[in-house]
Amino acid sequence: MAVPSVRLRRRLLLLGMMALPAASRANGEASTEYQIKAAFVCKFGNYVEWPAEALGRSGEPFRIGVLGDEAVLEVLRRTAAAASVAGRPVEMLPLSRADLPDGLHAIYITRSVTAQAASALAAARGRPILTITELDQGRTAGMINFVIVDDKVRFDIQLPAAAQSGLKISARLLGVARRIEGRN
Amino acid sequence: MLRFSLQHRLLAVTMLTTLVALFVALGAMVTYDLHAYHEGWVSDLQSQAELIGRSTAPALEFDDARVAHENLSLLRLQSRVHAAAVYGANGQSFATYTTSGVAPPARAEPPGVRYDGRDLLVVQSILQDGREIGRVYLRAEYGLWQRVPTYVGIATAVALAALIVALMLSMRLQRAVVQPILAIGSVARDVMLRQDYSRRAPKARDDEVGVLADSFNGMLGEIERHSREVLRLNEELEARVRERTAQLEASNEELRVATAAAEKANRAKSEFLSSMSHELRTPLNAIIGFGQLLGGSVAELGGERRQEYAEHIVGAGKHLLTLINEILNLARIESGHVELSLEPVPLDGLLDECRRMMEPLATQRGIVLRFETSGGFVVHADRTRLKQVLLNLVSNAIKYNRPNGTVTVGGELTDARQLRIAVRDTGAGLAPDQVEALFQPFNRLGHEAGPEQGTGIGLVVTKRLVELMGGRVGVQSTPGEGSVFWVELLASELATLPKTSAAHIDALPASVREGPPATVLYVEDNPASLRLVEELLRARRGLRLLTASNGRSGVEVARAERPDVILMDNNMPLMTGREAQALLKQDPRTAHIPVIALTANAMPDAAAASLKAGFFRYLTKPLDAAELMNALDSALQYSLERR
Repeated sequence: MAVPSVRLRRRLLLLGMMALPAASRANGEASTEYQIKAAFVCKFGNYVEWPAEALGRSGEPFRIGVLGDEAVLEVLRRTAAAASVAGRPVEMLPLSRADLPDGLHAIYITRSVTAQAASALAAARGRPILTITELDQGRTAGMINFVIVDDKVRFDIQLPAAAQSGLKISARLLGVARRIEGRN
Repeated sequence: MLRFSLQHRLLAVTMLTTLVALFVALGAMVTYDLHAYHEGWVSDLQSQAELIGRSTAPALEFDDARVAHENLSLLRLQSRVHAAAVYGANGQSFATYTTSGVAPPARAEPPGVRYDGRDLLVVQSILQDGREIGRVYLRAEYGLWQRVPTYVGIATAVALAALIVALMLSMRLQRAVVQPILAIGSVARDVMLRQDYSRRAPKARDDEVGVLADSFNGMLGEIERHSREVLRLNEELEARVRERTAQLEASNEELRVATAAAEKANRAKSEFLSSMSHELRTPLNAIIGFGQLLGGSVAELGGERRQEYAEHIVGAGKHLLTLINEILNLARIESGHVELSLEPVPLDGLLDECRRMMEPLATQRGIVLRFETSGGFVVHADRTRLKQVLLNLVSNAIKYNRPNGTVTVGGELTDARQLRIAVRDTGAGLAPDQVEALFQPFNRLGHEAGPEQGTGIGLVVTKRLVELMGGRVGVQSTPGEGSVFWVELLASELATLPKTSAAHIDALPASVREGPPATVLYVEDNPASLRLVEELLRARRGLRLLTASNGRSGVEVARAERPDVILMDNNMPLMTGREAQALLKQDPRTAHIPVIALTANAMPDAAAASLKAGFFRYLTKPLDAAELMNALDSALQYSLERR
């Protein structure tokens, strides 16, 4: 799992070429994986529906809180600069603690801060915040949880958590998810 | 043939029209349908591509080729889509699908609708949030051209069905239209074949065909009338031709008869000429012969012989003169140059004159003349010519009588209107064949060598003159006893003298009555006419009447006496009235005297010619007393004024 295949790498490279300036390609394979995940994170917002009051006035940025190291954050920021969600600019906010400030629309909890995942998810529970994690099997994951299948980045979706937070996840997104929990 | 031709043509027109209409309608429908099909199919494919794009967008965004494959594989339900593909944003193939083995292109093509052979290609962008994140490629059978045979089949079937229906309908309907025309046509053909113009075409309806039938019938009627007229004219013409032919034949016959008569006359003329030549030579023979005897031996001849020769010559000369006179006379008669003045002639006076003239000859021959002159008959004739006729007959009767014979002349009425004058002799008589030859010229019936001199023309002239006077001449003869020559003429009566009224006399101009007595000269050879005028003028006082019996003596009396008025007969011996008037006109002593013509010639042109020649008036016999008095009065008045 930890070592992406050549194929993945090539694919990630292609994605990276499109999304990132060539000079920023550092951190090797980990960086490539996170470039893909960053693109995915920026796109998820397009397939999820927030309660109207949660999104705020139009023109306000789409804020994603990030719990992770600086390298990943950097990748995310670069990706977000070129992305948009429902016509709004995407803003990456670095989080240091498990408690979540207001105005966040989503949080992304990277593998490196797995220890804080539970508390962060707990803090988000019931609030209109899309939670994205990359946890291994068996642990309590976010609404969207990245997995690596056959050298490819895939994700699982937990509908009950989303429903609990008042978020509706588009059926189109469900169509490309690897596994969906809570679907009757 | 006609029948089928017209029907067929109508049918063909109907069918052609139907066919064209069908083709136009079908063509429009097919075109519309194909167009609609094309639009529909293209828009179908586009929506399909859109759908695939929409459903495949997350797969593209999240790099899930499996989902894209699954989406594409749903196209198996749409059998007409043969191939499909999804391309990523960079144009790389992301997912493909194919059923026909035709692989989608490796890289994305520009968006749009294209045709490749019989396939329709649709390439559509996949948009996510305004960005193109990939493209969908669909390859489907176009199916437009495959539909064409189907359409053709449907069109053919529909056209056939429509044509059959139209055929049946128009055959049924056109019968109603064509039938009356065919009826007229058949009548027309019948008329031509049988030349029967009494046929008429039936009139079915009051439309144009009805008008056609009416016009046709009218035309037939006209032709019928004309042909009847032509027949009638033809018959008339034939009748006229027959008539003309008959006339022509008749006139041919007349011509033939006339030709025969002319030939006969010609022959008679030739015979006459040869006879005349002979007759003229005979006396010349005596004259020349005795003349030569006299000239050759005057000395030797005694006075007695000389006397005898001279008598022969003189006799022959006289005979020749008579002959020539008579021939000329005959010629005048034959050429119609004899003018007759027919008037009532008292027979007794005329017979008296004849007796006086013939008595010396009869006495010389010892013949007794017996004239019955107490009948009181009046005959309608020309006095001079009748006297000539009677003298001729009487002289013949004397000449050819037996010695001491008698000649009896008398008149009798054969009926109320015919008077017969008969001259009976006691001569040798004539045989029947001699009677026939009696009135031919120069035929002297055997007396040629006899002692009696004659020309053989006298009886011919007699016959002609009597015929000119409207009478007949004939002979009855008993050989050995004698002959009776007779002349029959119209009986007449002397004009009764009209009573002249006193009033008429009083009407005379005073100058005429009271002046010196006027002198009237009447030139007339007929004593009866003379007598009549004498009687008429006797009642007039102050008139002196002079008379003359012919033109010549009339002119002499007029020159000597200078009368005031001259009454002039025309037909007179020695000189006619016309000649006398011309002489008087030329003479200054008599030119001023008015001359009144008083003749028996009543022809209008003769009257006009006389007045033109200078006669004062032209009066015709029988005389009207009042007319004569009027003419006389105006002439006297005229003369008085000129005096």
